[in-house]
Amino acid sequence: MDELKEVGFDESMGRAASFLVEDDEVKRIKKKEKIEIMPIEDAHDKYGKLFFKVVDKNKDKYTRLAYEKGQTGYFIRVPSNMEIMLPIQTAFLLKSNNFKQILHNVVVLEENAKLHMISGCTSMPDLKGMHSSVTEFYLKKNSYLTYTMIHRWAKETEVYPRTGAILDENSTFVSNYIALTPAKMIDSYPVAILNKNAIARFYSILYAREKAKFDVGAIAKLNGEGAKAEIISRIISYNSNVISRGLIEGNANNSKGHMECSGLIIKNGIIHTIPELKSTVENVDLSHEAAIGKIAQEQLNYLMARGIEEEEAKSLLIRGFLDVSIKGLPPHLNKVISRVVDLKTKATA
Amino acid sequence: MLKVRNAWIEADGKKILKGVNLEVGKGEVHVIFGPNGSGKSTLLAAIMGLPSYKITDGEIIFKGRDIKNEPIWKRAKMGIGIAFQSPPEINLKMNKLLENLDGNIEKYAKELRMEEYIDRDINKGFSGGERKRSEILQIAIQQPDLLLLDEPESGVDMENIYIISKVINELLEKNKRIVERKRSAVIITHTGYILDFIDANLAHVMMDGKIICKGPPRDVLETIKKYGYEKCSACAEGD
Ligand SMILES: Nc1ncnc2c1ncn2[C@@H]1O[C@H](COP(=O)(O)OP(=O)(O)O)[C@@H](O)[C@H]1O
Ligand SMILES: [Mg+2]
Repeated sequence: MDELKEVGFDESMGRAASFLVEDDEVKRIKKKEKIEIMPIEDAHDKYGKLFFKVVDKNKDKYTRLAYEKGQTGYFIRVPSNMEIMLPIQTAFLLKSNNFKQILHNVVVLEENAKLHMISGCTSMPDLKGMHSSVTEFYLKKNSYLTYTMIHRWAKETEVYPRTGAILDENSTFVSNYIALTPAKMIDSYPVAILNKNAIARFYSILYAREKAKFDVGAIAKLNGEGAKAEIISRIISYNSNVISRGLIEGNANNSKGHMECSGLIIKNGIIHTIPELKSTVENVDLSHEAAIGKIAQEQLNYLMARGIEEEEAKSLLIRGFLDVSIKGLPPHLNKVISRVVDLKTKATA
Repeated sequence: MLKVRNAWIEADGKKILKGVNLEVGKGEVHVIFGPNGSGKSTLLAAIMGLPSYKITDGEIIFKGRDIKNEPIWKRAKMGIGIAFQSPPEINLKMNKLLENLDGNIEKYAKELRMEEYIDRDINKGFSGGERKRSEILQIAIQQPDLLLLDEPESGVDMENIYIISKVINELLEKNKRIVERKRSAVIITHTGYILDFIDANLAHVMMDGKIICKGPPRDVLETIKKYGYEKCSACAEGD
């Protein structure tokens, strides 16, 4: 199904495991490696007391919903010392009109485990509907997780992901959020709590279009000495409204955080960046930079001087702006992102 | 190929070119000398059609048509190509641009030793010399009939000037007789260095927005070197 391929769910590709949900029904679980992967409801007996430790169940309406009704979703656990080379793919598809998806996902990486995940969320064209989720990541000592989430929605979809990650000593969390899509509302503000020498990197590649509303960002709490966080976003707002938030809290000495946001405005788009830095100890190094503008005429002229027509030149610049190569992500996953960017930016300038 | 007639050009309300004439025939190579700020780049920009340079009087005829009102990309499609003096950095893999030019990427990337650069963002972190090679790479793949080269050799080391010149000479079919050559070029050079590698038919000297003299490239260069641009204007027959 093209809808799924467009968010990276592709069963012809090499994957360590697959997990597919349509509306609230688990359609497929496949696995090749010795990973634990199961529907969340099956994991409740075994691991339930672990849940809602990193996302507060009373945080808002959507976390309550997930707590009370979140019977659908995945539980994934990678045993200690296991490195999974191929990515695990998961996908959530909204299939029926006016359906409200309420999900709860949990990922646990035991000590020294390593995993790449690619997670697609999408809806059939022209549907109304809601996708809300709580996703919790537990990264134990020295573990390493890359989590690439690709969203593709219909104009009338509302989306409320609630994500939390707890990073134990020396663990690394690379979170990539790719949303090149319309949407009635995407409201997402994941939180990572970093212990000693942990590293979190949040990359967002956003192309809000067709009067979309995004209110998105990331929070990193540097609670352990030597913790490091980076929050980097590339945002295009095409006749849409994007609020891009970021908060880095330095709560331990020798921690380090950097935030960077570049925005491109097209056709009456709005971008509002709200970067915040907070420090509660002396010895921290926090910084942020932001730049918002329109397509640079000089760059446009440059491409047109090669014989490329104006509209095509604009679309090339948009594509180039979003085509960032993400540190720490395996090349084949960077390629998945490139392909999505190519597909979603063709002839849209 | 190209006729610039009495061109008056301004940018930002400032008069930069004040009645420039330049005629380049098929197969010919012209060089333009002149001090910094005299208007050399402006002339090329006006021929290419960059929108900040307004032509207030005169005409620019290319292949028999007045192109003054054509957009940049159309002029490029008609066969004008430019290698910019200071090209911008762009968030776009060079390859994605080159794919749009319908030419032999592999051959020229190899000849210009740019194979590793075409997977990188355009001009991002390129040295001065690398930018020049990247400009020549693009123009070579484009294969225009009229090459506008703005100081192609400045900041380029000897070995790379040689490499660049080789490609330019190949584009200009320097191995053929002049009557058989299809392409023409206007080359801006500050130092005249490039003349050691590329034969030019005629040199022009620009000062303060005017072409004040023209003549055989080597002679003109000699005069400038010996007496400066000022004297060159004295000896010139004008234009
Ligand atoms: N876009 C522009 N707006 C205003 N002034 C300009 C612009 N471009 C060039 N100029 C001015 O025009 C003069 C000629 O510039 P240029 O053509 O770049 O000279 P050259 O290439 O001979 O060094 C300079 O004084 C320069 O500052
Ligand atoms: Mg110049």
